[in-house]
Amino acid sequence: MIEMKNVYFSYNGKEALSNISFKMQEEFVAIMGPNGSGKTTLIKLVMGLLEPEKGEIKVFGEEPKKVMEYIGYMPQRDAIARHFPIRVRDIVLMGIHKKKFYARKDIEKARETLKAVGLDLWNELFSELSGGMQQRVLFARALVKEPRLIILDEPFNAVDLPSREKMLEILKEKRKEGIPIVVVVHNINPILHEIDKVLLLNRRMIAYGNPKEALNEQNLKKAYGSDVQIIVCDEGYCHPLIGDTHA
Amino acid sequence: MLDEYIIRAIVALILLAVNASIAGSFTIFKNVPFLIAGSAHSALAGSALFIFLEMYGLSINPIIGAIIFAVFVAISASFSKQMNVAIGISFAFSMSIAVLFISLIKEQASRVWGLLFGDLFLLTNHDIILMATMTTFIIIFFLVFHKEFLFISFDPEGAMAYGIKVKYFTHLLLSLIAISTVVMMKAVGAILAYAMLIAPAAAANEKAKSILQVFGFSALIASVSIFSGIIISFLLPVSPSAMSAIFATSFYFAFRKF
Repeated sequence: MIEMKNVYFSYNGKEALSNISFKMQEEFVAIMGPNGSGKTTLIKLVMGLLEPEKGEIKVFGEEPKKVMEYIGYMPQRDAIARHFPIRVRDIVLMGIHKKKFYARKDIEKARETLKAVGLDLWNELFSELSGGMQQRVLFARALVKEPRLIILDEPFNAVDLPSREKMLEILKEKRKEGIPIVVVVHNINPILHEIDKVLLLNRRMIAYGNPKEALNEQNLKKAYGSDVQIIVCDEGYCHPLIGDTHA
Repeated sequence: MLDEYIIRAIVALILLAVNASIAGSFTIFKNVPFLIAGSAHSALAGSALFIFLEMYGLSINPIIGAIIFAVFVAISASFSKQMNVAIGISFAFSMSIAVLFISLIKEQASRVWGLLFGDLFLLTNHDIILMATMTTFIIIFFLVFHKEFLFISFDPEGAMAYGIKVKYFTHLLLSLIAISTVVMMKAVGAILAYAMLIAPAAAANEKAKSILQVFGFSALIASVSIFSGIIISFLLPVSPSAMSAIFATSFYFAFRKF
């Protein structure tokens, strides 16, 4: 349902992505790589927010721009304005913004989605919530439109443990329902056992596949440019110990 | 019986409060306060140019020139990745044009200075009709597109991903703010339009607990400031616009969270 063939992209002549090719079906895929490796650029290409310089991208067999409405997207929290008193309800309802006026069922749906992500909030100010709660509100906004594809950019960044657990629980449910999920992460460890595939990126594709195979010392060194300490757990997953946090 | 000029000042007060509420609040949400200063001073250049053209037989209301130049700043800002830099450059360019034409129109220059300082008591019926028309136009656009404007102010990237034409709505939003600035200028002048559009909304933003409250509080703060300015100007020989701007900015300092 997402297919990239030999995709290239650059910002003002500076190469951001080079020769990216991969396919994903109804799977849970994590995109991982160091700062500036092109992770966010890659998902923007998938959503049709950027046009590739070369190559072809198909989402559900169509040009990305044609399927925007099927995607539930959660951007990085840092990219969001928090300097004015916007309420939780206003944000979740943005997920169904195409309607000029909200019907009672839209309001109910938004409230139910908030409850599903573990938040019994409605009129509270977004700026007064904790980082984890803010992430969950944005997550609810991505879910309220009942997307056919979920794309999350750093959803677990600066998130408390209960929020992370709740979000993961929902992602697992969506995965069971056959909804494909793409998650950009810096720290893959919280989701390593849940994902179907990992895409290791550093401007070019270092590895793509089952996390047990794709995440190894050699590939991590290629992606991060130096040795990355790892711990291999009982289930055989290679957990990278990356102290890198998002810029 | 109230004098006509007082009635006009009161009507202007209501129109200014509406503009301070709608355009001022979105200026704060979109975080482009410098746009007001840029648009207001560019509007001066537009007026000066149209007054200059009048001398050569092309008689068009200078306010049209003011709107064209103010919108030019808004559009050039919304095209730029560094909005404040684009506004600053347009501001400098427009002021150069303004000074150039003011030097050419000599005996008519006082009309441009009128726009620089403004005066609530010197408004004509024609001015009020023009301000009311522009304000109605602004209200309609904000009522129709408030959701889009809010989304692009809160999360432009997310808005794009949700199918909103962010560039188009940014052009529209900044242009409406620029037009609102011209409405303000007619009454309080280019210098104080900045204070009257930004300060009430900024003060309201510090206290409000919802978007609607920002609109309500900023309208209230603007009304109280302008009304107080008018009252004081009756008691003392001072400019009502200046007093209004001092009150409006004082509200911000009083409400500001440290």
